[in-house]
Amino acid sequence: MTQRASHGRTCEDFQTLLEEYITGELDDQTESAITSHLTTCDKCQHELHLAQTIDTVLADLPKPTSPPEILREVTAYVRANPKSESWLHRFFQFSNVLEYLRSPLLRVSAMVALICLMLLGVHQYQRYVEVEQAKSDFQYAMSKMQSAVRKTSLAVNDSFTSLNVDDAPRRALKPTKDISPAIQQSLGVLNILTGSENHQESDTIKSNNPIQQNNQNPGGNIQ
Amino acid sequence: MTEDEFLELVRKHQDGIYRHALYLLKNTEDAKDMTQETFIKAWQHRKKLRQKTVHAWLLKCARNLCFNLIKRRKFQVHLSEEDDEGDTFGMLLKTQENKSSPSPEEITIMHETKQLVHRAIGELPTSMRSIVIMRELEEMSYKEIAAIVKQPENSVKSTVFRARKRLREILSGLMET
Repeated sequence: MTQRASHGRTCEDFQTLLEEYITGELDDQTESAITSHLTTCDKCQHELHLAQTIDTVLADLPKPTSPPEILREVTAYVRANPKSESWLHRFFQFSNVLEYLRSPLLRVSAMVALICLMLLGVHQYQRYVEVEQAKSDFQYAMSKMQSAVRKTSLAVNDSFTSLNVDDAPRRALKPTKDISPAIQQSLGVLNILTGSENHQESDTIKSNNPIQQNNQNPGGNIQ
Repeated sequence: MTEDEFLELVRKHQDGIYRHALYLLKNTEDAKDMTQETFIKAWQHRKKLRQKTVHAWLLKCARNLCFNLIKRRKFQVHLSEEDDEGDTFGMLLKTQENKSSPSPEEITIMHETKQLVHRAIGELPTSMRSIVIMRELEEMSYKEIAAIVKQPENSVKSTVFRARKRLREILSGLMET
Protein backbone atom coordinates (compact mmCIF):
# COMPACT_ATOMS: atom_id res chain seq x y z
CA MET A 1 0.00 0.00 0.00
CA THR A 2 1.34 3.42 -0.95
CA GLN A 3 2.21 5.51 2.04
CA ARG A 4 1.52 9.25 1.94
CA ALA A 5 4.67 11.14 2.79
CA SER A 6 6.06 14.61 3.21
CA HIS A 7 6.13 17.42 0.63
CA GLY A 8 3.05 16.00 -1.08
CA ARG A 9 5.01 13.02 -2.41
CA THR A 10 4.40 9.33 -1.88
CA CYS A 11 6.99 6.69 -1.00
CA GLU A 12 6.80 5.53 -4.61
CA ASP A 13 7.76 9.02 -5.79
CA PHE A 14 10.76 9.04 -3.49
CA GLN A 15 11.81 5.52 -4.44
CA THR A 16 11.98 6.39 -8.13
CA LEU A 17 14.54 9.07 -7.25
CA LEU A 18 16.81 6.90 -5.09
CA GLU A 19 19.33 6.16 -7.86
CA GLU A 20 19.76 9.83 -8.65
CA TYR A 21 19.90 10.49 -4.87
CA ILE A 22 22.82 8.06 -4.47
CA THR A 23 24.77 9.47 -7.39
CA GLY A 24 24.07 13.05 -6.22
CA GLU A 25 22.29 14.17 -9.37
CA LEU A 26 19.27 15.79 -7.69
CA ASP A 27 18.72 19.43 -6.89
CA ASP A 28 19.21 20.50 -3.25
CA GLN A 29 15.50 20.84 -2.46
CA THR A 30 14.59 17.33 -3.65
CA GLU A 31 17.66 15.85 -2.01
CA SER A 32 16.80 17.36 1.40
CA ALA A 33 13.17 16.23 1.01
CA ILE A 34 14.33 12.64 0.43
CA THR A 35 16.80 12.83 3.34
CA SER A 36 14.11 13.99 5.76
CA HIS A 37 11.66 11.38 4.47
CA LEU A 38 14.21 8.57 4.86
CA THR A 39 14.57 9.32 8.61
CA THR A 40 10.90 8.44 9.11
CA CYS A 41 10.21 5.70 6.54
CA ASP A 42 11.60 2.18 7.09
CA LYS A 43 10.38 0.92 3.70
CA CYS A 44 12.22 3.64 1.80
CA GLN A 45 15.31 3.05 3.96
CA HIS A 46 15.22 -0.59 2.90
CA GLU A 47 14.95 0.45 -0.77
CA LEU A 48 17.85 2.87 -0.30
CA HIS A 49 19.90 0.04 1.18
CA LEU A 50 19.15 -2.11 -1.88
CA ALA A 51 20.08 0.73 -4.23
CA GLN A 52 23.36 1.27 -2.34
CA THR A 53 24.13 -2.46 -2.47
CA ILE A 54 23.59 -2.46 -6.23
CA ASP A 55 25.76 0.62 -6.55
CA THR A 56 28.55 -1.09 -4.60
CA VAL A 57 28.34 -4.33 -6.57
CA LEU A 58 28.22 -2.48 -9.89
CA ALA A 59 31.31 -0.52 -8.93
CA ASP A 60 33.06 -3.76 -8.09
CA LEU A 61 31.98 -5.99 -10.95
CA PRO A 62 34.40 -8.79 -11.79
CA LYS A 63 36.71 -7.92 -14.68
CA PRO A 64 37.76 -11.23 -16.17
CA THR A 65 40.68 -11.33 -18.58
CA SER A 66 40.40 -12.90 -21.99
CA PRO A 67 41.72 -16.42 -22.55
CA PRO A 68 45.05 -16.65 -24.42
CA GLU A 69 43.45 -18.65 -27.24
CA ILE A 70 41.86 -15.48 -28.59
CA LEU A 71 45.16 -13.77 -29.39
CA ARG A 72 46.62 -17.04 -30.65
CA GLU A 73 43.77 -17.73 -33.06
CA VAL A 74 43.46 -14.14 -34.25
CA THR A 75 47.21 -14.09 -34.89
CA ALA A 76 46.93 -17.31 -36.90
CA TYR A 77 44.12 -15.81 -38.97
CA VAL A 78 46.00 -12.57 -39.60
CA ARG A 79 49.12 -14.46 -40.70
CA ALA A 80 47.07 -16.71 -42.98
CA ASN A 81 45.16 -13.80 -44.53
CA PRO A 82 47.64 -10.98 -45.00
CA LYS A 83 45.84 -9.42 -47.97
CA SER A 84 42.50 -7.69 -48.08
CA GLU A 85 39.67 -9.86 -49.27
CA SER A 86 38.80 -9.73 -52.95
CA TRP A 87 35.49 -8.35 -54.20
CA LEU A 88 34.57 -11.91 -55.23
CA HIS A 89 34.94 -13.14 -51.67
CA ARG A 90 32.88 -10.21 -50.39
CA PHE A 91 30.19 -10.99 -52.98
CA PHE A 92 29.89 -14.54 -51.69
CA GLN A 93 29.78 -13.21 -48.15
CA PHE A 94 26.67 -11.31 -49.25
CA SER A 95 24.89 -14.66 -49.39
CA ASN A 96 25.03 -14.59 -45.58
CA VAL A 97 22.35 -11.90 -45.77
CA LEU A 98 19.92 -14.68 -46.59
CA GLU A 99 20.43 -15.97 -43.07
CA TYR A 100 18.60 -12.90 -41.83
CA LEU A 101 15.55 -13.87 -43.86
CA ARG A 102 14.61 -16.56 -41.42
CA SER A 103 11.43 -14.89 -40.29
CA PRO A 104 8.41 -15.86 -42.48
CA LEU A 105 7.24 -12.23 -42.46
CA LEU A 106 10.60 -11.08 -43.83
CA ARG A 107 10.53 -13.79 -46.49
CA VAL A 108 7.04 -12.80 -47.64
CA SER A 109 8.04 -9.11 -47.66
CA ALA A 110 11.14 -9.86 -49.72
CA MET A 111 9.10 -11.92 -52.18
CA VAL A 112 6.44 -9.22 -52.54
CA ALA A 113 9.16 -6.59 -53.08
CA LEU A 114 10.74 -8.76 -55.78
CA ILE A 115 7.42 -9.31 -57.59
CA CYS A 116 6.65 -5.56 -57.43
CA LEU A 117 10.08 -4.85 -58.93
CA MET A 118 9.45 -7.29 -61.78
CA LEU A 119 5.99 -5.84 -62.51
CA LEU A 120 7.44 -2.34 -62.55
CA GLY A 121 10.07 -3.51 -65.06
CA VAL A 122 7.44 -5.03 -67.36
CA HIS A 123 5.29 -1.89 -67.12
CA GLN A 124 8.23 0.34 -67.97
CA TYR A 125 9.07 -1.84 -71.00
CA GLN A 126 5.49 -1.64 -72.27
CA ARG A 127 5.57 2.14 -71.94
CA TYR A 128 8.81 2.23 -73.91
CA VAL A 129 7.30 0.16 -76.75
CA GLU A 130 4.21 2.42 -76.87
CA VAL A 131 6.32 5.57 -77.08
CA GLU A 132 8.42 4.11 -79.89
CA GLN A 133 5.24 3.15 -81.76
CA ALA A 134 3.80 6.64 -81.36
CA LYS A 135 7.03 8.18 -82.69
CA SER A 136 6.92 5.99 -85.77
CA ASP A 137 3.22 6.85 -86.42
CA PHE A 138 3.92 10.55 -86.04
CA GLN A 139 6.77 10.42 -88.55
CA TYR A 140 4.52 8.65 -91.03
CA ALA A 141 1.80 11.28 -90.59
CA MET A 142 4.30 14.10 -91.06
CA SER A 143 5.61 12.62 -94.30
CA LYS A 144 2.06 12.32 -95.60
CA MET A 145 1.31 15.91 -94.71
CA GLN A 146 4.44 17.13 -96.46
CA SER A 147 3.46 15.21 -99.55
CA ALA A 148 -0.04 16.69 -99.48
CA VAL A 149 1.28 20.22 -99.12
CA ARG A 150 3.65 19.70 -102.04
CA LYS A 151 0.88 18.42 -104.31
CA THR A 152 -1.42 21.29 -103.32
CA SER A 153 1.22 23.88 -104.13
CA LEU A 154 1.80 22.27 -107.52
CA ALA A 155 -1.89 22.38 -108.30
CA VAL A 156 -2.17 26.03 -107.29
CA ASN A 157 0.86 26.96 -109.36
CA ASP A 158 -0.57 25.18 -112.36
CA SER A 159 -3.87 26.95 -111.95
CA PHE A 160 -2.47 30.43 -111.82
CA THR A 161 0.34 30.12 -114.33
CA SER A 162 -1.76 28.48 -117.03
CA LEU A 163 -2.83 30.76 -119.82
CA ASN A 164 -5.69 28.50 -120.75
CA VAL A 165 -8.44 29.68 -118.40
CA ASP A 166 -10.89 26.94 -119.34
CA ASP A 167 -8.39 24.18 -118.67
CA ALA A 168 -7.16 25.50 -115.33
CA PRO A 169 -10.05 24.40 -113.10
CA ARG A 170 -9.88 20.91 -114.52
CA ARG A 171 -6.16 20.58 -113.80
CA ALA A 172 -6.53 22.16 -110.39
CA LEU A 173 -9.30 19.80 -109.46
CA LYS A 174 -7.43 16.66 -110.46
CA PRO A 175 -4.58 16.88 -107.93
CA THR A 176 -7.01 18.14 -105.26
CA LYS A 177 -9.03 15.01 -105.77
CA ASP A 178 -5.88 12.93 -105.45
CA ILE A 179 -4.50 14.56 -102.31
CA SER A 180 -7.66 14.76 -100.23
CA PRO A 181 -7.39 11.13 -98.92
CA ALA A 182 -3.73 11.74 -98.01
CA ILE A 183 -4.59 14.88 -96.04
CA GLN A 184 -7.46 13.13 -94.34
CA GLN A 185 -5.21 10.18 -93.47
CA SER A 186 -2.55 12.46 -92.02
CA LEU A 187 -5.07 14.31 -89.91
CA GLY A 188 -6.56 11.02 -88.81
CA VAL A 189 -3.19 9.68 -87.64
CA LEU A 190 -2.45 12.93 -85.83
CA ASN A 191 -5.78 12.71 -84.06
CA ILE A 192 -5.04 9.13 -83.07
CA LEU A 193 -1.73 10.22 -81.58
CA THR A 194 -3.49 12.76 -79.42
CA GLY A 195 -6.56 10.57 -79.09
CA SER A 196 -5.61 9.21 -75.59
CA GLU A 197 -7.00 12.45 -74.18
CA ASN A 198 -10.04 12.55 -76.38
CA HIS A 199 -11.12 9.15 -77.63
CA GLN A 200 -14.46 10.26 -78.94
CA GLU A 201 -12.97 12.80 -81.28
CA SER A 202 -10.46 10.26 -82.51
CA ASP A 203 -13.18 7.71 -83.14
CA THR A 204 -15.17 10.22 -85.18
CA ILE A 205 -12.20 10.97 -87.38
CA LYS A 206 -11.39 7.33 -87.81
CA SER A 207 -14.92 6.60 -88.91
CA ASN A 208 -14.59 9.33 -91.55
CA ASN A 209 -11.19 8.12 -92.70
CA PRO A 210 -11.55 5.68 -95.58
CA ILE A 211 -7.85 4.81 -95.65
CA GLN A 212 -7.75 3.79 -92.00
CA GLN A 213 -10.88 1.78 -92.44
CA ASN A 214 -9.02 -0.18 -95.13
CA ASN A 215 -6.08 -0.79 -92.73
CA GLN A 216 -3.64 1.02 -94.94
CA ASN A 217 -1.59 2.56 -92.14
CA PRO A 218 1.96 1.13 -92.44
CA GLY A 219 2.96 2.78 -89.20
CA GLY A 220 1.02 0.17 -87.20
CA ASN A 221 -1.90 0.41 -84.83
CA ILE A 222 -1.08 2.10 -81.53
CA GLN A 223 -4.34 1.47 -79.77
CA MET B 1 47.85 -1.01 -40.72
CA THR B 2 50.55 -3.67 -40.51
CA GLU B 3 50.10 -7.09 -38.94
CA ASP B 4 52.15 -6.15 -35.90
CA GLU B 5 50.20 -2.94 -35.36
CA PHE B 6 46.97 -4.86 -35.62
CA LEU B 7 48.10 -7.55 -33.16
CA GLU B 8 49.11 -4.82 -30.73
CA LEU B 9 45.60 -3.43 -31.05
CA VAL B 10 44.18 -6.90 -30.30
CA ARG B 11 46.30 -7.17 -27.15
CA LYS B 12 45.12 -3.77 -26.00
CA HIS B 13 41.38 -4.28 -26.52
CA GLN B 14 40.77 -8.01 -26.21
CA ASP B 15 39.97 -7.97 -22.48
CA GLY B 16 37.36 -5.24 -22.81
CA ILE B 17 35.67 -6.87 -25.80
CA TYR B 18 35.73 -10.30 -24.15
CA ARG B 19 34.21 -8.91 -20.94
CA HIS B 20 31.43 -7.19 -22.84
CA ALA B 21 30.65 -10.35 -24.79
CA LEU B 22 30.77 -12.44 -21.62
CA TYR B 23 28.31 -10.24 -19.75
CA LEU B 24 25.98 -10.21 -22.74
CA LEU B 25 26.15 -13.89 -23.66
CA LYS B 26 26.71 -15.29 -20.15
CA ASN B 27 28.86 -18.05 -21.57
CA THR B 28 32.66 -18.16 -21.80
CA GLU B 29 32.88 -20.20 -25.00
CA ASP B 30 30.45 -17.97 -26.89
CA ALA B 31 32.20 -14.87 -25.54
CA LYS B 32 35.53 -16.20 -26.78
CA ASP B 33 34.11 -16.96 -30.24
CA MET B 34 32.47 -13.56 -30.54
CA THR B 35 35.68 -11.79 -29.46
CA GLN B 36 37.66 -13.67 -32.10
CA GLU B 37 35.06 -12.91 -34.72
CA THR B 38 35.13 -9.23 -33.79
CA PHE B 39 38.89 -9.02 -34.34
CA ILE B 40 38.70 -11.02 -37.56
CA LYS B 41 36.11 -8.55 -38.86
CA ALA B 42 38.35 -5.70 -37.72
CA TRP B 43 41.23 -7.21 -39.71
CA GLN B 44 39.01 -7.55 -42.77
CA HIS B 45 37.96 -3.89 -42.46
CA ARG B 46 41.30 -2.59 -41.24
CA LYS B 47 41.37 0.10 -43.93
CA LYS B 48 38.34 1.76 -42.33
CA LEU B 49 39.71 1.68 -38.77
CA ARG B 50 40.88 4.93 -37.21
CA GLN B 51 43.04 5.08 -34.11
CA LYS B 52 40.68 7.40 -32.24
CA THR B 53 37.49 5.45 -32.88
CA VAL B 54 38.80 1.92 -32.95
CA HIS B 55 37.55 1.05 -29.44
CA ALA B 56 34.04 2.27 -30.25
CA TRP B 57 34.15 0.37 -33.57
CA LEU B 58 35.20 -2.87 -31.87
CA LEU B 59 32.56 -2.54 -29.14
CA LYS B 60 29.86 -1.79 -31.67
CA CYS B 61 30.91 -4.78 -33.77
CA ALA B 62 31.06 -7.12 -30.75
CA ARG B 63 27.70 -5.86 -29.54
CA ASN B 64 26.06 -6.51 -32.92
CA LEU B 65 27.59 -9.97 -33.18
CA CYS B 66 26.38 -10.84 -29.68
CA PHE B 67 22.86 -9.54 -30.37
CA ASN B 68 22.72 -11.56 -33.59
CA LEU B 69 23.82 -14.68 -31.75
CA ILE B 70 21.23 -14.12 -29.03
CA LYS B 71 18.55 -13.63 -31.66
CA ARG B 72 19.60 -16.74 -33.51
CA ARG B 73 19.66 -18.94 -30.49
CA LYS B 74 16.80 -17.29 -28.65
CA PHE B 75 19.15 -17.09 -25.73
CA GLN B 76 17.07 -17.72 -22.66
CA VAL B 77 19.53 -19.42 -20.31
CA HIS B 78 19.35 -18.10 -16.79
CA LEU B 79 22.39 -17.38 -14.72
CA SER B 80 21.36 -19.86 -12.07
CA GLU B 81 21.52 -22.68 -14.58
CA GLU B 82 24.93 -21.60 -15.74
CA ASP B 83 26.22 -21.27 -12.19
CA ASP B 84 25.43 -24.93 -11.72
CA GLU B 85 27.78 -25.70 -14.57
CA GLY B 86 30.52 -23.70 -12.86
CA ASP B 87 30.55 -21.27 -15.77
CA THR B 88 30.68 -17.49 -16.18
CA PHE B 89 29.46 -15.51 -13.20
CA GLY B 90 30.01 -18.22 -10.64
CA MET B 91 33.56 -18.54 -11.84
CA LEU B 92 34.01 -14.78 -11.91
CA LEU B 93 32.88 -14.47 -8.31
CA LYS B 94 35.43 -17.05 -7.22
CA THR B 95 38.13 -14.97 -8.85
CA GLN B 96 36.97 -11.94 -6.91
CA GLU B 97 36.87 -13.75 -3.56
CA ASN B 98 40.48 -14.78 -3.83
CA LYS B 99 41.51 -11.16 -3.92
CA SER B 100 39.92 -10.10 -0.62
CA SER B 101 40.41 -11.47 2.88
CA PRO B 102 37.37 -10.73 5.10
CA SER B 103 35.92 -13.11 7.70
CA PRO B 104 34.17 -16.29 6.50
CA GLU B 105 30.76 -14.93 7.57
CA GLU B 106 31.31 -11.70 5.65
CA ILE B 107 32.47 -13.67 2.64
CA THR B 108 29.27 -15.71 2.70
CA ILE B 109 27.00 -12.63 2.93
CA MET B 110 29.04 -10.77 0.31
CA HIS B 111 29.03 -13.78 -1.96
CA GLU B 112 25.27 -14.26 -1.67
CA THR B 113 24.52 -10.58 -2.25
CA LYS B 114 26.84 -10.38 -5.22
CA GLN B 115 25.40 -13.55 -6.65
CA LEU B 116 21.90 -12.09 -6.39
CA VAL B 117 22.97 -8.81 -8.03
CA HIS B 118 24.74 -10.71 -10.80
CA ARG B 119 21.61 -12.77 -11.34
CA ALA B 120 19.64 -9.54 -11.49
CA ILE B 121 22.09 -8.13 -14.07
CA GLY B 122 21.63 -11.28 -16.12
CA GLU B 123 17.88 -10.75 -16.11
CA LEU B 124 18.07 -7.25 -17.58
CA PRO B 125 17.07 -6.88 -21.24
CA THR B 126 20.11 -7.37 -23.48
CA SER B 127 20.38 -3.84 -24.85
CA MET B 128 19.95 -2.36 -21.37
CA ARG B 129 22.57 -4.76 -19.98
CA SER B 130 24.99 -3.74 -22.69
CA ILE B 131 24.65 -0.07 -21.73
CA VAL B 132 25.04 -0.85 -18.01
CA ILE B 133 28.21 -2.85 -18.73
CA MET B 134 29.71 -0.04 -20.79
CA ARG B 135 28.89 2.48 -18.08
CA GLU B 136 29.68 0.53 -14.92
CA LEU B 137 32.31 -1.96 -16.02
CA GLU B 138 34.18 -0.11 -18.74
CA GLU B 139 33.55 3.27 -17.08
CA MET B 140 32.71 4.90 -20.39
CA SER B 141 31.12 8.35 -20.53
CA TYR B 142 27.50 8.82 -21.56
CA LYS B 143 28.74 10.55 -24.70
CA GLU B 144 30.93 7.59 -25.71
CA ILE B 145 28.09 5.13 -25.10
CA ALA B 146 25.64 7.34 -27.02
CA ALA B 147 27.95 7.24 -30.05
CA ILE B 148 28.07 3.44 -29.97
CA VAL B 149 24.38 2.74 -29.40
CA LYS B 150 23.31 5.61 -31.68
CA GLN B 151 21.02 7.18 -29.10
CA PRO B 152 20.95 10.65 -27.56
CA GLU B 153 23.12 11.14 -24.49
CA ASN B 154 20.10 11.84 -22.26
CA SER B 155 18.44 8.67 -23.43
CA VAL B 156 21.53 6.65 -22.46
CA LYS B 157 21.60 8.31 -19.05
CA SER B 158 17.93 7.57 -18.54
CA THR B 159 18.53 3.91 -19.56
CA VAL B 160 21.27 3.59 -16.93
CA PHE B 161 18.97 4.87 -14.18
CA ARG B 162 16.10 2.71 -15.38
CA ALA B 163 18.44 -0.28 -15.32
CA ARG B 164 19.43 0.48 -11.73
CA LYS B 165 15.78 0.73 -10.73
CA ARG B 166 15.04 -2.51 -12.53
CA LEU B 167 17.96 -4.17 -10.74
CA ARG B 168 16.57 -2.98 -7.41
CA GLU B 169 13.17 -4.47 -8.25
CA ILE B 170 14.70 -7.78 -9.35
CA LEU B 171 16.97 -7.90 -6.31
CA SER B 172 14.04 -7.16 -4.03
CA GLY B 173 12.08 -10.02 -5.62
CA LEU B 174 15.02 -12.41 -5.39
CA MET B 175 15.57 -11.60 -1.72
CA GLU B 176 11.94 -12.28 -0.91
CA THR B 177 12.20 -15.73 -2.51
